Amino acid sequence: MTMIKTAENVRRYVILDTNRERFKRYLSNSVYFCNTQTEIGKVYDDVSDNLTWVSYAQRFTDELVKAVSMKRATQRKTSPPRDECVLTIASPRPESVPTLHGLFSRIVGDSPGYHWLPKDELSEVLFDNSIDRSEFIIAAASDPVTRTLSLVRGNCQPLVVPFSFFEPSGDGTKPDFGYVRVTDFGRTIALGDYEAAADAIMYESDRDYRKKVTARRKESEKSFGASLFRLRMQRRLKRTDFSPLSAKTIARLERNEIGKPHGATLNAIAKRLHVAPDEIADY
Amino acid sequence: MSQLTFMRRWDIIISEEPMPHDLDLPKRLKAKGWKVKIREKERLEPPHVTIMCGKREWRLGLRDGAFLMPPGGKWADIDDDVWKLIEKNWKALQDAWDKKYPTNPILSEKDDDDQDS
Repeated sequence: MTMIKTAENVRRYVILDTNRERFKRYLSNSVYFCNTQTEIGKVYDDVSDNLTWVSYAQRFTDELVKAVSMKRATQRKTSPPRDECVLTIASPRPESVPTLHGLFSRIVGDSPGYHWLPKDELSEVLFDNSIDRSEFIIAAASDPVTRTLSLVRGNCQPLVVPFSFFEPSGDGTKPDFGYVRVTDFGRTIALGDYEAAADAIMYESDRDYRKKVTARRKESEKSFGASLFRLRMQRRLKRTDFSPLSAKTIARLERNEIGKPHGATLNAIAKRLHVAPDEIADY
Repeated sequence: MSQLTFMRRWDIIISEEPMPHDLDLPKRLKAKGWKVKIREKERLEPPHVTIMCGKREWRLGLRDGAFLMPPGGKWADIDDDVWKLIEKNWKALQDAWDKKYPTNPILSEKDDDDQDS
């Protein structure tokens, strides 16, 4: 096992599995692979924070418990609490669950009720530092007694929504909470034939996510739509003056409901505004 | 096999075609990870179809065929054959949206006025 220390604010992942080859392409200075207690102990010593352990088999969860409990017991000084999360893709032995909770601040998947993204898609979401993992759902668990659905985001944060949140579709498709799947790389929660968009769930139920999306919309307003509106006003043109483009299309462009146009559309708008296509955004 | 039996079997094949809310793509495109869907819980959004490829997704407006923000996008990002299939099934996708979201239909666009003030 090779390991390089990285900046403290980067989240690091440790894959606990037998098949190193399967994960080879993800391994980096923020994604490590271990399959022995010794290797686990070494990572524990070297990385003190922002760490997520991903265990694909019960026996590796047991190895993790053994290695970390040994480290804690032999620790000379009291150390500050570590931000560590454990994802048990294979649910752990019930007897090991109390110990896991005693050793780690967050455990995800500590009961067989969790439904995970397919393994290859899970790896794509968890081990890609270029994406915002909080925008992906990696697991879900349904509770018919409390009538709630627990979702787990790619950053391990939970999101709990009541069943009533999923209204039947106009075409008669109803959610089946007895058949939960997380699909489409964490973009869709399938409840039987009912496929709910993950971003819509997060938008409706998470204030922070809503703020983030709104900020992105505002950012896009700064760029093209608002510029187009200002320039059109300056030229004293109406939305109907952009034929063959419809007034409706111009209105939607100005409201940033649609992305920046390209090619012939952009050229037509620019020509009518008497500017070069790349100058519109400057207004 | 009689002609009648053949016809009946053909009828069954037709009726088993997937609903247009999940566009049936050829194996080649599926293997590359392409998906085209109209999903639930999107009644507050402008009518659209979601195009997916792996972790990436685009939302294509069903009123005017433009990419919705966020995340935006451009046609160069989408496989030509996916685009052709969407174009071919455009009406079916619009109908599927209207059926799924009768309170937010394709033709409800109120902004066809020209409010310049």
